[in-house]
Amino acid sequence: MIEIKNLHVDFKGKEILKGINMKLEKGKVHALMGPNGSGKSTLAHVLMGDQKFNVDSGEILLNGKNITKLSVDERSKLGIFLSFQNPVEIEGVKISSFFRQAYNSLHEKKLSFLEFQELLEKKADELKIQREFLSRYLNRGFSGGEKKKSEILQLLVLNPKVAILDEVDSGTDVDALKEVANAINKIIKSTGMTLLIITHYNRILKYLKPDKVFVMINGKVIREEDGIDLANEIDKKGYEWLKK
Amino acid sequence: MGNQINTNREIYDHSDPEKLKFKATTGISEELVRKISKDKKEPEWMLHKRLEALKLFNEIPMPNFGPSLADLNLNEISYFIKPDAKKNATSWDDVPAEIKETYEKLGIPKAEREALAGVGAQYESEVIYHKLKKQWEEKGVIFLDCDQGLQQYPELFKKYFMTTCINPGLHKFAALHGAFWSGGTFIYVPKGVKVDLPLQAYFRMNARKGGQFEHTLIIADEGSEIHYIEGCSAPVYSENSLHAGGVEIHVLKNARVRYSSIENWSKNVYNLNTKRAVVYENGVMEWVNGNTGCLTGDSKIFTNSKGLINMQYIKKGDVIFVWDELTNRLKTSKVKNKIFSGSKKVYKIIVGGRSIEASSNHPFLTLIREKNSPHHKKGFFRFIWKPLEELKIGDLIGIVKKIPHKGKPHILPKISIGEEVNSKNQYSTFKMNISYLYNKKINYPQKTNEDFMWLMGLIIGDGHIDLNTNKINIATHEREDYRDKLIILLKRLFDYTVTEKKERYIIINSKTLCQLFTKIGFSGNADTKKIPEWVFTLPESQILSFLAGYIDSDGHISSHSVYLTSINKKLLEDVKLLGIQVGLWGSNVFTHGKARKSMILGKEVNLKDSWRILFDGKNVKFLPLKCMAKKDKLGKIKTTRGYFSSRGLNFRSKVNEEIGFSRINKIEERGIKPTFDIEVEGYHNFVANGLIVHNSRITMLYPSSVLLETGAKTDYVGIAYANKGQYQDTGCKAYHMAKNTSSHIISKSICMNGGTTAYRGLVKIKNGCTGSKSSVRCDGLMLDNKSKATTFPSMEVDENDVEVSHEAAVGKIGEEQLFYLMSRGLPEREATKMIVSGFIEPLIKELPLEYAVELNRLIELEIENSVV
Repeated sequence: MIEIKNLHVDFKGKEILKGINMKLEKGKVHALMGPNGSGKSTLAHVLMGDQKFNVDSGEILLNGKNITKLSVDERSKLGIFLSFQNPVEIEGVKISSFFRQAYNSLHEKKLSFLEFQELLEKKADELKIQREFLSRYLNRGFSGGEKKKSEILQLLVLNPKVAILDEVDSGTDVDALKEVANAINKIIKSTGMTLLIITHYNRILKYLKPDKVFVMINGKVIREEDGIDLANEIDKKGYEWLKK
Repeated sequence: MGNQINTNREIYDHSDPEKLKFKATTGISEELVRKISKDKKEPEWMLHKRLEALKLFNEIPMPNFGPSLADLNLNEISYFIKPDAKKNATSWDDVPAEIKETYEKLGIPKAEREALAGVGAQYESEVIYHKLKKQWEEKGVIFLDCDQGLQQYPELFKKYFMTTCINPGLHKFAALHGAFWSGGTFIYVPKGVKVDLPLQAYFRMNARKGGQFEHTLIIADEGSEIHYIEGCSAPVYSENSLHAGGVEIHVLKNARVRYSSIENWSKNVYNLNTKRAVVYENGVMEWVNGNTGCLTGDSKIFTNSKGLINMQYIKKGDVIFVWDELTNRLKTSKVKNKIFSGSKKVYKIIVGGRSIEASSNHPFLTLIREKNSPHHKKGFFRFIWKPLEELKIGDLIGIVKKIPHKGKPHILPKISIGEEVNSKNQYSTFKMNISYLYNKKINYPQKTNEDFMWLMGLIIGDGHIDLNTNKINIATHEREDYRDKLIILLKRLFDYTVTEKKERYIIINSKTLCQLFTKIGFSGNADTKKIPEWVFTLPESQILSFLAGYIDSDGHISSHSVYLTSINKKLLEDVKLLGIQVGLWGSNVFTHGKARKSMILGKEVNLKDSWRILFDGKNVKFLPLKCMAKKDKLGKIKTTRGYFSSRGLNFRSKVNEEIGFSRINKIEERGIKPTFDIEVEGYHNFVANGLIVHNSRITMLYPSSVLLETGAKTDYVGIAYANKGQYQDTGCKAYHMAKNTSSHIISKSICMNGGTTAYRGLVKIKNGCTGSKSSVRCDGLMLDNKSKATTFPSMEVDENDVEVSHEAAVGKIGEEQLFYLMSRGLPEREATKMIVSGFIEPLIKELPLEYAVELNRLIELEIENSVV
């Protein structure tokens, strides 16, 4: 599905990703683990096309197609979705109207206000999101948990092909995490969505069973293993032992 | 209704357009005031009020007021008096394509589009107007043209017209307005009446276009409510350049008035200088405002065909020079519109030997050095437009080194002088042949050439034309090596043989040449000589010959520069501009000698003040001087100035033979002067006084509310949008004069593509106004790095027991925000629109729905047109 080949990325001249090679397979759940500052979020942003980072060399392929030079919205239209670790506040823009505009720019079948409202409310219910929440301004004054729920609500509504979840478990309490995980599991089952979960501990991985775990340290993927075992080991021993 | 000039009359009476013709009368005079009043059949007291205002206008002192005001008013008032009927005769084809397109995009029906553009008769509107009028009339609401209002409701006018709100004594322009006001809108809402539909001048578009000094008088009687909309949000096209109107609003006890003006917001041709409301007990005044800087009228604009023109005489269609940012070269473009921007405080900025007077918000091209980033260890240079008020001494300002002007030789007029004159003696009248006298057969070329222009240079330098004796005196000492060259040249040019040679000068005896030189503008004494405008339209080689002639006769050459000295400062200023045109860079014209008594050749003489200008630049060496001694020295001038480096900074990459940068030497205040701005097709800048300046399409408009009695309240909602090259200066003033008064001000400004916005407001709370509240929120959103948003809120609070809050947030549109929205599939343009509409959302909420919709559409249009 997604193939990352020898990806080198710098931010303002400082090299952050130092030759990443990864393969994400269709319909599988992948976990990308690593200590803080190892470059996980950078990779997530680069996959989405954040211009803040410079791709110095290497390429990103989506179903064999080189998307390294595509703009953010073009990637989105190809089905890539990023759930932000810390989504920005946008004043004056209501969740409902933004989500609808996003939906309509990604889907051929455009939904009217009422049709969309119906879809949105259904998805909101799955995440136990209150209706009033939907008329709030985007991420404005949201708690950490609310932000994550809003991100996942978008995931459910927009129904992408590949979803990158950046630290979806940070700032969420156990109940919220369960709700989020359940909703994600449901959508994976029904749609065959490809998932890349970025996290530095395995809390969420208990709910979303990864098919493969990658470990990134200092801008390099130093280990990859099928199954969840590696994640559990990291949970016990931390990352230090992997650095050797 | 008689013979009045406002076009509203045409709506009711199209049978006799001839009557509308109004003889042009010029000048600010009592006569004109009387004439206006008489033609409008005004009551005697109004005439007195006008005359009183005129008297005030003449009396109110305005320190440093330039002489150009007299010119301006003469000009503009006659413009106003000319019949408006012609404006209606203009066809839809005359409306600029850009405006038409905007109407189309806004979905305005054709009839209304034409109305907005001031084209065509207004039959459709008439119907609507009458229908609405009937509804209002039933409620007792009066909605009339101001002239009609005066006729029908003289008592209301006596009480409210330019009395407690805008008094003619408020400032000089209020007085001018008081003397010459004409047309506009009069609204009276009776006690307790609430008008639910907004009233718009929209339906009386023609009438609105009538006046440059139009007056809006709104009286909301106790407990009434009204919303008045100035025009509509579509751009209004007008050819008028001077709009010095007045809006006065009386909000009586418990009344509520909302005044919206949005059309300015899009494209400003409107310019209401004074907007003021007085609010009585518990009354509410709401301003909804959208606004769209400026140079003094004596700024010189380089045009392609007409040479150098004073800004105040620039006309629509003139071709002028503009700076093209992409190529960093000068190009030509047509003037779309010239706008009188009101009298403003102006500052003189002196840079690279050039100077100009401009208002504080007028933007100039500056070169700034971006500080190091890891990628740019040395830093790099970037062009940026900065308003004058942000400039400081030492800033690098864009100057024009040479105008890429393709001149043409000037066609010389035919001078016919009979060879015979009628003469008579005591016996009879007879014809006398005088050709042997001063009319030795002179052949002169049909158009100017280099020789001719060199001679004209000599004459402007040290020549004298005496029309009485038909002699032309050219100072050339017999020791001067160019005297012989002059004699040969005269033979070549005119087939004239010099016979009269003196030690210090030679004389040409020719009535033909005397008349010719006079006719083309070369007469006058040392202190009245000037360079005729057509000289600016000549080819470069002829201009250089002319300057060479001047320098040969009157110039001096030092080791560093060529210099000219004269008692005629204006002449030197003109020479400077002429120099700029051909790549000779003059210094400032500076004082050389003070007036004094001196002994010259044994005689005591009174010397006048004298002035000097220096020229340097690479091109100085190419001056075709004929004086060999000077030419030798010229070759030795050491000059390196090229405006490509300064104080160790080298910015050669941003400089070429046309454009250079120089540091500001001085900025000084110059008092209040009338200012102008011009709009150019395809560009937002132009070349004035050898500097690259921006047009700004802005009016600085600050509606003000005077909260006169307890409980009075005012709200201001303002939005400003500055696109490429625009500078939006908006704000509002609230004067708290009583207890428990409140003001609520919210302003949102958006800028992109290098546009600049500024919020400038004043809240004043008088001592004793306890319990008063004021909240000010002014936010600016910059859509990119090139744009700039600033706020200058000011508060003068002389009372402690008040609640005052102020919030200002100025920020750039976040890359993060864009990235976020785009990651959900929104293209950049859509994402930007979404952020902008979110930004103004709190303000939109305060607008009536239909305006919110239209405003949103306008913003979307702006963004669509500019996001590439």
